[in-house]
Amino acid sequence: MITMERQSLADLITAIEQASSPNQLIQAVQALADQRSAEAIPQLIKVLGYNNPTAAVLAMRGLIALGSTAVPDLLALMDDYNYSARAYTVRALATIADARALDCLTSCALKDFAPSVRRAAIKGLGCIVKKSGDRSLCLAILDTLQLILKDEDWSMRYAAIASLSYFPAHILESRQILQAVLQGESDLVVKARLHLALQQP
Amino acid sequence: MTDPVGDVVWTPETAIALLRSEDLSQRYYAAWWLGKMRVHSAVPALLVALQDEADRTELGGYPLRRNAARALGKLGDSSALPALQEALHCQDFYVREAAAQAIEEIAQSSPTAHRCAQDCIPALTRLLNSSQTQPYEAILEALGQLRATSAQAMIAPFLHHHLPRIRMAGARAMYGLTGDPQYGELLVRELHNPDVNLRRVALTDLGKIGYLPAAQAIAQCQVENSFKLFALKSILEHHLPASGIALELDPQLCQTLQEIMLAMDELL
Repeated sequence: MITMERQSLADLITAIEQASSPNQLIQAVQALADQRSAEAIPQLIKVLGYNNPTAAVLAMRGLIALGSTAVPDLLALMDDYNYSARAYTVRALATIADARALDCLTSCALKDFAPSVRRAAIKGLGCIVKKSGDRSLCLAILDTLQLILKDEDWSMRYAAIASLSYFPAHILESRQILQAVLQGESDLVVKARLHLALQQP
Repeated sequence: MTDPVGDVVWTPETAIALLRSEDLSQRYYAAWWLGKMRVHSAVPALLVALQDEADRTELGGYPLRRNAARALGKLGDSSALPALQEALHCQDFYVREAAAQAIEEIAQSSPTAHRCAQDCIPALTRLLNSSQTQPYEAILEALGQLRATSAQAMIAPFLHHHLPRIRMAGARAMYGLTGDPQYGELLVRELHNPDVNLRRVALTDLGKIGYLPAAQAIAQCQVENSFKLFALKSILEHHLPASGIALELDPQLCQTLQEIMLAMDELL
């Protein structure tokens, strides 16, 4: 395209739909994400499921930059069939850390079948705590994380510890939980992450 | 442990008996099952299956022998080593590959098994110099695992092999033998390979050799987060003290390891 004029949003969306090579797609997604426009949200969400990791990451960053505005659509348009798309959605929700995503992240953290989705959701719960700091919200999330600390998969326990490390110091329970699991932890790297979390002031 | 398949309830005893089933596909499945379920009492029966003549492919392969070798590797029993060494000479490429991998796996199971497995070094080394096509990746990885310093001169030429996977297996083996960072760096370069499958191989290899200087390059590599998470975990496992307390290490190493953990947080 030779024109230097600012393209309309509709043109940018068409450019994504008509992209005939991975590179064209990537450029078109970047251009749309750069608009920082709420109207771009549904199209950016679609790109998360296009099976092009570079384009998906650009779209995810665009959605994160839009912050809370993107949350209702991210929740409503969650892809139940494509776990790789769902992992990007959950990462976006985790980073935006809007409390409206609590139910969605809790359910993904506990029972999504895709490990990458679960890990991202578990971390997202800690991000919500870090942002909100509301005590009752923190305690609800703490209950979820305590269940996950018993998971067989080391990476889930690791994610739960990373998530707990985002809790503010005045929520004393989070520290007590970390101390309580220290004895029984058998995985070397999870143990090391626990020590690192406890070392924080 | 049981696993109902059709009408049969699978137990270690039935699975061992099925290694002699009339139905060849049952034998094949039984060998796999015994390895997966870690049925240690199955070693003698699997050694018999490793000599099987009944189950043949059209091209002359020995499917049951392949699965028997894989299962013996999973069981980690050093008494299987002489038979596996014998299997390195089988006409079937995939039996030779499975045998080399099984020898490597058994060597990892205990220090004693590692010493016993070193008896396989001459046989493995000879395969590097044969007229037949060989499972070079598996052989090189086994020789690296066995710290086969005597084989170094035979391994080095594979650093220039025309297939990238075999070059990488060579680099991994040379690093295992020498600890020389130049071989780790060969793998680090492959993290930028245009082929995503090769980037995944390089990243997994760097994890397996615990090459610490690669940690940040791994965190930045263009592959799925889960691959990076698992590779960084392997690196940490090579360097953490048994207590898991990084603070017990010297301050610089401690800081590096803690940075790796924070990089892992970003990959969740």
